[in-house]
Formats: sequence, C-alpha cells, structure tokens
Amino acid sequence: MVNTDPDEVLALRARHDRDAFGVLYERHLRRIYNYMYYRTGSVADAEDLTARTFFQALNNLHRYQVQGVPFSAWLFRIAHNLVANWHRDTSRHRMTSTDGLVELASEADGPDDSAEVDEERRELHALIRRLPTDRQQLLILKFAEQMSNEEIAVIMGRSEGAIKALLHRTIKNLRDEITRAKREGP
Amino acid sequence: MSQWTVAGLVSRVAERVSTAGEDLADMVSRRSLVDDLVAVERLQDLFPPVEPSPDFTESLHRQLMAAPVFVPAEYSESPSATGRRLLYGVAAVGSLASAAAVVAVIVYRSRPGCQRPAA
Repeated sequence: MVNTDPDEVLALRARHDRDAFGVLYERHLRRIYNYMYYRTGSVADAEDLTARTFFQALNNLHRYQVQGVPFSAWLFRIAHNLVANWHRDTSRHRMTSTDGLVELASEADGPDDSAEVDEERRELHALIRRLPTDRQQLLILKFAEQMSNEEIAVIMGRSEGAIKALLHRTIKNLRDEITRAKREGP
Repeated sequence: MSQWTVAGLVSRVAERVSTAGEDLADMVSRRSLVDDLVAVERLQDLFPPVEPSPDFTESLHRQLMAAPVFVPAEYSESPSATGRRLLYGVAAVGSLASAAAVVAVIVYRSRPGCQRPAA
C-alpha cells in the first residue's frame, strides 16, 4: 500500500521508525540523484553524493523543524552543501566532462538528432559550467528539477523576487554568450 | 495589379512608416522575448531526467535501513531522562503541597478565636 502521509509527518516519525525514512527515501531519491548528476556530470560522483545526502539526512532528522522549511527543501539544502563542498575540495568543476550529459540528451531525442545539435549542447553545457555555482544550481533546479521559483527560493535561502531576477539575468547572460560564440565561430 | 490593391499597399506602408519608432521598439523587445524563449527551450532540452540504477537504489536502501544513527544526547529521550523528569515533577508538586499546608496552619492559628493549648 502506498503511504500518503505528508513528508513532514514522516520526517517526525522517521526519528524512531526507520521504515518511515524508507518512504521518504523512495519519494526523493530520483530528484536528489538527478540534481547530483547534473551538478557533477558523472554517475559515480552522483551516486556517492546522493548516498551521503541521505545518510546526513538520517543522522540529522532530530534537527529538522516541521515549522521551518518543507522536508524536500531541507533535503536539497543538504545536497547543495555537499556538492558545494565537493566542488571546493576537488576543484573538479572546471574539468568535469560534459560528454556524458550530451550523450544522455541525444538518447532522449532519438537517433535522428544531428551531430550539429550535439555540438551545440556540448557548447551550452560548457557555458553553464563556466557560470558561478549559484547560477548553475539555479538552472539545474529550474530546468532539471522543474521547480517553481518559490521552491528554489527556499532551497537557496533567497526571496522569490531575487530568484526571478537572477534567473532572468542568467538566461540573458547565456543567450549573449551563445550569440557571441556563434559570431566568433569555431 | 489593380489600382485598389496598390492603394491599399501604399496605405499600409505609409502606416508602417509613420509608426516606425513604436514598431522598432516593439520588434526589439519581441525579438528579445523570442530569444529568451528559445534559450529556455534549449535549456529544457539540455536536462532530460536521469534515473539511478536499480542496483544502486536497492543497495542504498538496504544500507540506510541497517545504518546505526548517532543522535546527540540532548536530543535522545532515554528512559533515565524521562524518569528524572517525573521525579522532578513529583518533588515540585510535593514542595508546593508542603508550602500550602504551612500557610494553611499559619492562617488557622492566627484566627482570633483560635486558642493555643495551655502549657
């Protein structure tokens, strides 16, 4: 039977009941993994950081305040802190390969997609990787996780208006970069 | 081309020229909006949803279910802590009852009609 209890109720119960945590895990695993995959660009690192996120959540359930932020936002904050530390410790974000990400997008499109489109995607991923980390995070939460500005605001600890403005600036910035790259040619 | 059609065309061109300023501004902002939408569409295509492998999902679930959890003492509700709280509660109620009894005796004895027993 599917458990329909709200996350917040389960989070309280999960302090003493491991099965309740299991339900939370099943509900949020895909989104956390998706986020980690696009933040790191690698399956191995995404798996490692996803596992760490859930272990940290399990060990800190007693700190979770129901009246504070929604459980999903709390979990994403843990994920964000872990991936930020990962980037800081390893400085791998400059070296992360975008090949896997491009192949994945191509598979989603089917075999008719041209090499030109793949090249464009590779360039776009490379452009995104050059953005400041808060902007990368914003784009992934918005376009990979399909979150609302309100949800993103809670996770990133900013106002909804600030998120809207940052998103607008980021898209404009990317658009300008794409135009410049096209003008300069290969 | 008939005279009527030419007149219509000239009239439309004249209208375009007379409002060229507004049109240009409009076109620029529309262009910018279209570019933004194209950029958004590209970004959406760029992040197809990814799924963790079933092996990873299963293995992590098992590990989480079996993992011991460290909960700091201040957050743990141990039986001894609960017993201590109960003891403090009973002691507090007892103290209040004693204080109330002492006050009652003093009030009773200080009544005008109350005689002290002779020594």
